[in-house]
Amino acid sequence: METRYAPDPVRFERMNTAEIRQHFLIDDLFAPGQVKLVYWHTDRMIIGSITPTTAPLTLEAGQELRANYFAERREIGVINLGGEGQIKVDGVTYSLAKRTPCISGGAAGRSSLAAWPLPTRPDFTWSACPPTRLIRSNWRKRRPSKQPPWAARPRPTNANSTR
Amino acid sequence: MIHPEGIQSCQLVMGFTELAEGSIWNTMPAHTHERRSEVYLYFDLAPDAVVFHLLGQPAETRHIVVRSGQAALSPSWSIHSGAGTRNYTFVWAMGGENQAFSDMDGVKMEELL
Repeated sequence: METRYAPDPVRFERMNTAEIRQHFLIDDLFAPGQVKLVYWHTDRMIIGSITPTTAPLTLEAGQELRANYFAERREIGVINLGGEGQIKVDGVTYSLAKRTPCISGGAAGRSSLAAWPLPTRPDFTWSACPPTRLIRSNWRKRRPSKQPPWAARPRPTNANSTR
Repeated sequence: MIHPEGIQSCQLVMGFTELAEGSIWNTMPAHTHERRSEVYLYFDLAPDAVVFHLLGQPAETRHIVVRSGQAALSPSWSIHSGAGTRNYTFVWAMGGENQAFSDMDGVKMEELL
């Protein structure tokens, strides 16, 4: 897991292009067949990508977390940016179409997040934060039913987006 | 998506914004939020297109040239805005002390340097 410490504003003002990119840009996400993790010490957020190709990939805790499993003390938000894929959490498989999110972790139990490839090549991006209270899960289990509301096509924004 | 009025979470706020064709700017007017840091992951950007992502304090802005599939990190003291050579979509994710979207400090256009 790559670790990054954010420079303070004073040091930032004196950084050149290479230094700014080194500290504030992640440019090696979505490597085929790999899990990429960046531990950003600002708010202790972990940002990453999971790009399964021919075999499933599992999110491991790693030495940096000193945890029994990745989501033991964290919640994970995942959005699929590629083709349809599958994610297994606590033994339950969920299908995620492109631009579909899900969240896991914290009090959801001993959740181990694993991602499966489908022929459509999913690219999962995710962020993980330490939770401060019990969270409520809100996603559908994999079944041939209609898509949940939040899986609907996103609405285009105006020309000058404030987000 | 993942926010107090959508999919419930404890701290994480996460979603994405899609720019219509012909649009290039995001998050302008700019803002900061002292109680949350934020990450922008740009995607669906054409191979020959880039986004000039702006960061830094309002009076000391810098830029990073970002391409599709790359993420820009924004500490709480930094603005986070961008202009692309074409339209794009970006994932935004925040974490910190609260989830209140309105807890932000807008930057007036005349303050930007």
